[in-house]
Amino acid sequence: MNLELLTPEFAVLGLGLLVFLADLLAPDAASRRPLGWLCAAGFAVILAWLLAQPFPQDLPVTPMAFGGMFIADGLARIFKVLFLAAALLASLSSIDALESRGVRWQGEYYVLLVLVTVAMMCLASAGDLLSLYVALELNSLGFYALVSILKGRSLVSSEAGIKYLVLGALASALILYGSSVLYGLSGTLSLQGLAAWARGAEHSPALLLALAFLTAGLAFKVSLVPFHMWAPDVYQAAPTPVTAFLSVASKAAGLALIVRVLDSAFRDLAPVWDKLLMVLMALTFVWANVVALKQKDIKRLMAYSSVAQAAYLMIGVVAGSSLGLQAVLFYALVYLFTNMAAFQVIQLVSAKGGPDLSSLRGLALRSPGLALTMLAAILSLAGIPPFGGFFGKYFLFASGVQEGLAGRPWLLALVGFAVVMSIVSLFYYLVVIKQMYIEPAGEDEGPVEVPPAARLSLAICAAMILVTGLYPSPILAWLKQALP
Amino acid sequence: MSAFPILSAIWLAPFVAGLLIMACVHGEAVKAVKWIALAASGLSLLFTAWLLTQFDYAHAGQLQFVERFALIPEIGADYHLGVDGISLLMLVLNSVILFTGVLASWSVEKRAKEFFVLLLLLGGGVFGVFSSFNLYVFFVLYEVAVLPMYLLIGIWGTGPKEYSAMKLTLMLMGGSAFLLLGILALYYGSAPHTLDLFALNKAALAGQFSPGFQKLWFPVLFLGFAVLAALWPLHTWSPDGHASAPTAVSMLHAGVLMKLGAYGCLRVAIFLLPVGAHYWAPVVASLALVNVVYGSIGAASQTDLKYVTAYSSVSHMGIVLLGLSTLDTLGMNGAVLQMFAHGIMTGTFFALIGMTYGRTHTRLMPKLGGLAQVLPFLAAAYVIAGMAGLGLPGLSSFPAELLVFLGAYFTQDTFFKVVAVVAATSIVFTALYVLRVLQKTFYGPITDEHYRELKDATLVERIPIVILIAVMVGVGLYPFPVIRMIDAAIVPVAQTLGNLPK
Repeated sequence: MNLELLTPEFAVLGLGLLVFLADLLAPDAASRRPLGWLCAAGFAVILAWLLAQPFPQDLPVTPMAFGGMFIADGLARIFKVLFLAAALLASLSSIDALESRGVRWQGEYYVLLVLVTVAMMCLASAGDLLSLYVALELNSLGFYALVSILKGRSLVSSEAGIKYLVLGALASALILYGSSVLYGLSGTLSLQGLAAWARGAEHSPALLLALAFLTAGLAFKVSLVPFHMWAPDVYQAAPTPVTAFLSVASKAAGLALIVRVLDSAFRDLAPVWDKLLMVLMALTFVWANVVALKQKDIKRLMAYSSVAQAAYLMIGVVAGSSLGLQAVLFYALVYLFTNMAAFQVIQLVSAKGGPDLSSLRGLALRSPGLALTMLAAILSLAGIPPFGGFFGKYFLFASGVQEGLAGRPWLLALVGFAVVMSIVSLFYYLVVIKQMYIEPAGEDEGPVEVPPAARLSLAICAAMILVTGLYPSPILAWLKQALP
Repeated sequence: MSAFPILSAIWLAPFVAGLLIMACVHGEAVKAVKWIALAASGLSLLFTAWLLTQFDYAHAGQLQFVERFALIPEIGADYHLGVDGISLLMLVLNSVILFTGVLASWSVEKRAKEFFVLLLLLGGGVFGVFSSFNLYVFFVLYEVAVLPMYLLIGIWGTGPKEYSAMKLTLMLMGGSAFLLLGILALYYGSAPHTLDLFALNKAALAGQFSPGFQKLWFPVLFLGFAVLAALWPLHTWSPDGHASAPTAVSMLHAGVLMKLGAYGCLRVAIFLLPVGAHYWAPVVASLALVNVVYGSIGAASQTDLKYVTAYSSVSHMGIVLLGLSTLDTLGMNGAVLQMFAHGIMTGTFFALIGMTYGRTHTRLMPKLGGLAQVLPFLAAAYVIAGMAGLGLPGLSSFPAELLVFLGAYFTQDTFFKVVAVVAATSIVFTALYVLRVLQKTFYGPITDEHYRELKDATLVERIPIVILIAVMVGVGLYPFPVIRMIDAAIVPVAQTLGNLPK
């Protein structure tokens, strides 16, 4: 048994128990304040350790545990780094936010945060549809609770939790049903076994059905239209740090699923599922970008924006090349820092008053630094150089154009369409910038207070948004190393 | 050649100064901000002047002062700077306009720090584009140059500024989105994959881009750039944008950024996709002809001075695009010279209008009149710029327009002969609107008694105008060194167009 392969997961689990114990021993609410710092420090240490590990090169077989149910390859490692970084930033941004919203269950909150992270890490390593499903459920259950953590304070938070639970259960059911049909056809649940089976599989109606169910369930997880309807409500109502974490980590987890299941295991069935995915992407480009134009609530706007971003990510998956996979992972990384920064600013700005678009009014004059960070994040989301989002999109489009010119005209057309719709998205991103830079501030609106934890997480995000845009080579090299 | 990275210094001087102001200078220290901005743009001007003295004119067709290192090797992105005759001319144009633009903005007090930061980022980005010969860096700096416009117009503009800013940004970014696709197609169409402009040209000459490929991608790339050059019917951002923008921004935008579009059309679309260029040339010429005629009729029917100048820019950019569409050495020479001449001329116009508006607080011609009596300097400058606008010999636009019309006329194609005649005839409208503006605004009786108390241009205002007019007259009287410089750099393009793989 290769239990040492699970070291990162055990370490995070240990962190969870530590937080749990600390919460148990803490006498009152005020003394629970350091829990967030404890969490952040724990994540930082584990993240640093994981980054320092060399990638195993030229192994004859992929490192596995539990008879292939757990895979510890480079791909899993990259996703784990993503989840840990997101969890680190989320704990930093939670420290003061929880207090200001009067959350009573601070201990539980951080324990859930850690457990969700463990679940996602296991998800990234799942080598079997069964372990994948278990990890997925653990992750979703944690998020249902996190979304409704404002229970008793905010009715909409509970409502969002219920909505997410019901729709999430539907998605799980779709995935489970798809998996069971696949098991019936192939007689195996292991992803490797399925890949071997898919090579010679007949494209029977049952197989198409199973793939359609699976794709729909996965589309729900990354929120592609029309499986996105939970996202705006949940994003709007959840506490902002949870929204931020959900929007990046949960999306990355969905992405890990797609990469593991569709892109790796069912690569040979790509002609079957990629058409379906492309239709969903085209729908997403239109619907998410157009509906976002009308949003007045900044968190809803960001929700639609992140629905649209998911479709951009899928370009790399549909391209299916090694360049495409690198582009997807790179963009997921950029998107992590960008969205975290944006939500962090939103949370600080809307701490007084609501998360209305106008809460950003005159931010450039009130808090120039904060406005500048938000500007970088928004421009990065819009794909404007010199920020990371630009290079990420460039890379994604490159993978699409490469495959498109190599004889897939529909993919080329889709990339062209994505480019056109990115101009539509620029409109609502510019509206956010307009609020910050052009609209004057209201009379009673002064500078925004930025506590140290938020300052730290914002600084990390801003630095990464710039680095990924200006000098992406080290990250590309790292990705290349991880994906032989 | 010298080891000093002169080209990097030219684009980084304003860029770094902008970041420096952003990071270090307090928003209240308006004077310091302005002096730093002036120093940085002056430094770029000096560097460019030095470049002019060091440039090897005998080999103006080759890249000189090359700086090159790999930036993101995974996607073929190199930091690859250089200048040839055309680039050098554009650098001179930008440095003159940026320097005079900073001077013309001396009176900006509202949020001055942010204004000059954005202006410097814009100017620095443009320098970078004109000297960049790798399409990735070219594209990145191109977007960096376009985006500050949104805030510059949105915050400091006049009239329907938010609408104009949004329209301009969306249209230009829309164009650049197509560019992105085109650039990727070029990259993956070439073997080995490259983004180096000259390597791509070799790939084109070696026949790596099939005629079908070129016919498909030429319009994508050409239109992507042509939006910025205000090709009809994609010009609609231009009148609104230029009319709403503050003075220096109109100067830079009409004076330099629109040239960036035409420059891209020549350097990227025509140079790399010659078969496509030949195939689409009649369409481009027809649209450019509409530009010329429509722009001058539009200018003749406007009453707002800025709209008049904005429409005249549409018309003059039509001449540039027409020259490019001839795909003929003479015509393309004229087009590049017209880019320069129009940049200087329209910069002068917008500076003068800004100064007049600062005094009269209106730009509407019916409300103006007799200003020559109280503002003799501004009036005289306006007359000179106006004469350049209608192509009077002795001023820089004359040789440019002449070359374009001759180039179009002497192609072997009847179609182009007709186009040349029609375009040249439309100069009548140009004369009409130029003379109308002069007559209504500066001559005749004074329409408002308050105007009698106006003061003529101050020293800070006179310096940029004098510089601009000096360039206009200098190039107009003795254009030959400039034409030789352009001509040498046009040779590789002409050779590409002439040596098409069969």
